[in-house]
Parts: sequence; C-alpha cells; structure tokens
Amino acid sequence: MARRHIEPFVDRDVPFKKMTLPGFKRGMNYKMLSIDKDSGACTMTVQLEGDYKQPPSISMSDMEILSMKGTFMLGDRACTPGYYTFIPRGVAIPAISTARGCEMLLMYNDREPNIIESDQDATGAKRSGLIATNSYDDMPWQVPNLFPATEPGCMIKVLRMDEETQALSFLYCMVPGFWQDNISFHDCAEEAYHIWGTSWMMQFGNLPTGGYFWRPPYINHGAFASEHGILAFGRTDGTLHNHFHFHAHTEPDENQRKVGKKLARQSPDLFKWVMTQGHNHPDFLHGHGPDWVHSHDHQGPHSHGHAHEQGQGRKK
Amino acid sequence: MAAQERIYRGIVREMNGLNDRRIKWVKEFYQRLQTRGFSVHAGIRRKVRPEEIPPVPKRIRVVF
Repeated sequence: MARRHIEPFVDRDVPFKKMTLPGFKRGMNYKMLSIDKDSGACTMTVQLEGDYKQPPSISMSDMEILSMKGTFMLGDRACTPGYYTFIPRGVAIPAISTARGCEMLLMYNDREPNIIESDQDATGAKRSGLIATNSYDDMPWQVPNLFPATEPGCMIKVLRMDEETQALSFLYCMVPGFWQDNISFHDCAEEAYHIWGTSWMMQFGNLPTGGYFWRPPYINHGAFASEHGILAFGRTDGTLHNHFHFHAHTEPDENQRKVGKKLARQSPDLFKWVMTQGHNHPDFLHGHGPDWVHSHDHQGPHSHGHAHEQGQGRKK
Repeated sequence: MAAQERIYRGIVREMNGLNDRRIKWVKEFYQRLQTRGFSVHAGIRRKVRPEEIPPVPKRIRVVF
C-alpha cells in the first residue's frame, strides 16, 4: 500500500470536512488520516451528525468500521463504542442512522470511499467474510503470542486476521506505567489510532488521544512508555513480527537487509529455496550465506550485474 | 492528496525540530540499556555491555 509515512498526526488538531463524494448523504463529516495515492484506499475519522440517515448500500471496497463515540443503528442493531465490523466488498450494508450523532473510524481498504444504494449483495460478494462484534464487551484481552513479544502490560484483542496475508486488525492497550526498552520494526506497514490515552516513543515523542500513525515497513519505533495507559486500534498489512534491536540511528533499507541476513540464519532451508529460484540472489549473500554451497550449474547470467569466480560464495 | 502532502511535510518539519530532545532521549535509553537492560522478550531483559552501545549520532531521521 503506497501511503506516506504519517507519524505522528493528531486528528484533534484539524476540523472535520463535509463528505461530498457522490452517494454519501448530507451530515457525514470526515478527517482524512492517511490515503493511498495510487488506489485511494484510506483511513478516516468520521462524524455522523444527529438525524443522519444512509439507505442500504454496497461498497466496491472492503470496509472496516470501529465505533468510538455515540450510537448508530446498522439495520436494527445498535452500535455503541467498541462495535467493530469488517464488510467485504459487495456485501450489502444495512441502513445506517443515528439520532444524536456519533464518531467512528472508517477504512476503505481497496479504493477511494464509494457507495452504491442497494439492499442486495453484489455478484460474487463474500458474505462469509463479514465480521461484526462489540470488541469492548464481547472479547477478552489477551497477551500477545508473538516471539519476541512486547513487555508485559501490553495486551491485544484480535478483531480480524486476513487468511492469506495474515494482516491484522486489533485493539491494543498499555497499562499505566508501561515501559519497553528496545527499538522495534516490522516487515509490514502498521497503523494505529489512540482512542484514549497518551504513549511515548523515542523517535516521535508523545502520541495523545486522537493520535494516529501510518508507518511503512522497517521504520524504527521505540523505546516505548505510557504513564497513564492507552486504548488504541491498530492494523497491519501483513504478518506482524517484532524485530527488536537497540541501534537508534538505523534506517529502513539497513533494517531490511538485516532481516534478510537473519532469515538466512534462522530459516536457512526456506531462504535457500526462495533465493535460488532461477538462480537470483542478492549481493549481500556472497561469502556470508549459511551452510550451503553457491552452485554455478546454470545457463543464464547472474541477475546482479557483476562477475565472480566459481566457488566464491562457498562457505569456508 | 495535496492535503496529505501538506500534513506529511508538516510532520517532517515537526520531527526535525524534535531532534535535540530525541538525542537526549537516546542517550538516556543507552544508559538504561546498561542498568535496567534491553527488552529481549516479554519481560526478559539483558544488560548491555558498554562496548555494545552504538555511538550517539548528531541527527536521527525518523520520517521516511
């Protein structure tokens, strides 16, 4: 996803704008948190004014909604703060209304915000992927089962995991006094919005209530702290793995190279299989690979544009 | 899209302006690594030897 590195951004610092795109009814206001310049996929804070009404509709984009303030009706279901739904593209969304107004996070995952009035699913819509839950009332907090994991005191509720990409949508919290003394980066983009509370990161300072970030892969973040605790919503666009280190000055390309080397050490068979398909391999492996022989039994040229003697990559 | 670019440029300016405080935070972080320890995994900590501590740079880029 081609979104700018937006970190930190506090939506309380900017006013709502009126949503004027075709199909959206009057009384819907938004703050754009981040947007993909290629696809138009975006994350917004949305305010629905009192007496707002939207007829049943479909969107040609996967959508996610997290209710944060007030109550809105989705068909005959009252959606209070903590209500979360993932709506696959083309699945009919019941009528939306609110008597006294509400605020939510609204995400379009594939393209710009779009809406078509319809009370029928579009052809091919995957209704089985629909998720609807009250994340505050219906789900327990869990200790993250990642290795390596965050310090005790950071907990998570997984709301959705994409079966193919392992992309996650989740609530997370930090208890008062939380502290974690490492620097982290991930192989995936990460996004978060502070529903309540302030946390601190060594790179970016304080992120208060209404604070948001969209962080591309391999960007350092941490150490971490929160004096009074936080409640936040987060997402990734792929598998969430914590790469912990303590070099404050490294940049994304260097971090990415380190991950390549780590993969070669930790999963040498997988690494060998992936990297020798068609005999393509990165320069940094020459002479530094794990315990395998760099074969030259191939017809085509190397993909990296330099020559070397046979056996140069052989481990001694 | 233009509004998003303005927000991005504003963030870059703001984060560049935070550099001196950030360098101070990094020095404090490097000190804590040697006393309280590096957070390895879920409450497991390791005290870092002084020779492992990287040099403190003058500037750290944080927005990409």
